[in-house]
Amino acid sequence: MRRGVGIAVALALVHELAAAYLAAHPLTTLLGASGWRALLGVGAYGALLVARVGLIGVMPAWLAARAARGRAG
Amino acid sequence: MRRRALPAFAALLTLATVPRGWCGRGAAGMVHGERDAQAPFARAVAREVCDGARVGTGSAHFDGEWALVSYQLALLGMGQVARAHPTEPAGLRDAMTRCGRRLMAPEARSFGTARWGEDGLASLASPHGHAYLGYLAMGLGMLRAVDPQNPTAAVHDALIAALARRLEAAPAGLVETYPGEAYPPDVASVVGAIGLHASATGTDRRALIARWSQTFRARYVHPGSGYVVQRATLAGDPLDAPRGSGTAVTAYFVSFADPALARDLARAVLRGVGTVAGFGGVREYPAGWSGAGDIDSGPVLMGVSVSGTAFGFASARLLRDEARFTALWRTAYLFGAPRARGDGWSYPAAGALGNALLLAMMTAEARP
Repeated sequence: MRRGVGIAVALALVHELAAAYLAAHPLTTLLGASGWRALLGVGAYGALLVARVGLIGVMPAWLAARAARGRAG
Repeated sequence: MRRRALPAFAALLTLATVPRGWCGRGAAGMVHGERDAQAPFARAVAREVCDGARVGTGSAHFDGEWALVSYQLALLGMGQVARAHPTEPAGLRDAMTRCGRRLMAPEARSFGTARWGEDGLASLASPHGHAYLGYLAMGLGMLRAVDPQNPTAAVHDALIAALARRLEAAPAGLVETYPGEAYPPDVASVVGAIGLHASATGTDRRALIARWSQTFRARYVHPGSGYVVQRATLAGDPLDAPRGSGTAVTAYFVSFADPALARDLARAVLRGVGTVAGFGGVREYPAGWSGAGDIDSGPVLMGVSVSGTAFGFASARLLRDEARFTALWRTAYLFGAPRARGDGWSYPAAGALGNALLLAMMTAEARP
């Protein structure tokens, strides 16, 4: 359970950092960018999506499976 | 057996219900046009677009196009919110005035000036099409609808007269955007601008709009899918596939001029909405067609286009289709990551253009 909480906190942290970066550098300002700036933008958006999918989809499913496993015995 | 099946079932059930429930929060308020849903988004767009739109496509031409469209869509969105909620504080109307000034600046149309070799707004007697001015004229139309005493009224009248004359003279219903280039969705902005001007000033343009709609339906609406062709020759021959993104934006633009045509196009857009686990997106190409994304559609992923999905909100609003609006909303929530900022909220990943676009589409007005 502690590992799950740790992963959730890490995902939330990644989410906030990526969202803050994208708020300052929206994707529409990065379309023509090259090099590290483009990489950072794409990386931040990828990290944001992974964190969102993790927090909204994977973590709840993992918790539900874990609770069901406990019930099943 | 039970020890494995039950956890798997619980995980699948959670995956099928929690994300769609979580990401769908707030959709009902927006689809029903509630002030608490619309106004905070409009306030954020006012700050982002009217006080500092930035784009960086890597092309001065596209940067210019996107800036003009950002101002236009911000004006349309803010105007729709101001019209729906007349008691909204004056800040929104002040922001519209600032946005109108940016829209009127020569830099906002310099991309068109460069292509034609003349400033479209200073060459209204010219036979050249300058159909991109339809976007500018729609912004001015909404400004005038909200504030009839706006100082741009005289320019607005002259611009609409020129665009109407060019549309009347176009044998295949197409006004050139750039020399030798015509795009039906751009012409839809011209028609939308004429309709918006007519409703704001009481000018009767019904005959012109009816003739154009008839030509448009016959030539540029794909009979099987109802999607609109993205590009055509000046003689009216299609040069591109029917596209979801172009259809969705056309439905929104013509809703200001011909609500019946707008509803038919909106139906086609909503038929093109695909959903997975409650998350929806608009397919860019109809069955039997395929292609990649471009500057208009944005990336096309699994057949779904980013801008088609964003423009699709207007179709759901026009047809009052809450289920599909909510499906699109969930996708926007997941991929756009909305965040509160001050007294408003917006989608940080979308930037000024994306937020202006989403505001205009999410608050589109259904007309009888």
